[in-house]
Amino acid sequence: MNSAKTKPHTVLQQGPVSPDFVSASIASHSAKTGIGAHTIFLGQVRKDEIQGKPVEAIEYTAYPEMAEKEFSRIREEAFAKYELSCLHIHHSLGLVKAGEISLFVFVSAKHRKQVFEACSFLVEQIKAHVPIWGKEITSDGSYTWKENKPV
Amino acid sequence: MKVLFFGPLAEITGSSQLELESCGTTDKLYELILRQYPEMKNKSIKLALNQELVAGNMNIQAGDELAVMAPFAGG
Repeated sequence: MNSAKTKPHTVLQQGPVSPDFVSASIASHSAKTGIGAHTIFLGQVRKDEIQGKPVEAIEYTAYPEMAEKEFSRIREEAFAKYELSCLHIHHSLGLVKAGEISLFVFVSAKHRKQVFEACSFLVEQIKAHVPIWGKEITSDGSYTWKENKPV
Repeated sequence: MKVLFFGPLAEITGSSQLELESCGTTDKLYELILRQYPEMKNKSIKLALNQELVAGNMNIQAGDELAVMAPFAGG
């Protein structure tokens, strides 16, 4: 059993996921030479318009204990369902500006089919089952609570 | 009985944690919440018991952690 599968993980972090962190995560996998394919999903805060006003940022909050439990259940389900070498999930809390990254899912395996399917499975599970909420804050400081819709 | 509220629901209650009268089951808690906060009727709220989503009707024991949640918005 790969130790990466069993060690405890904390998914939630304050603020956006930086592109440097994503890049360093890729670099840190170069020693794992059994891997032949990675997929990366990056969720970026979109500058939607709400009643004519652009969304400047999303402020994320969570039920953190339950959220971490759900992330860990989703991880285990993905490992049981697909033949993966490792997977990493990072999700923001607090303020993330339009154009910044709020979700980083990184899946690695021997072959491409497993990582494509697992990545899609993970993102859908995260959106449907993890207790996270987001306020879409517009340019005049007013806000709307975001709600995930099925694809 | 301590009940946690998150996101838009904490705005409705004005607090992220309330002390509500014990009600024995999650169905009864659901009714109590909608009676106290009728605005939540349109919010498709979900309950969690000890950090697990409630499916069906479940018994509430002393010391259980209860939470009321609006639709999720992660990602």
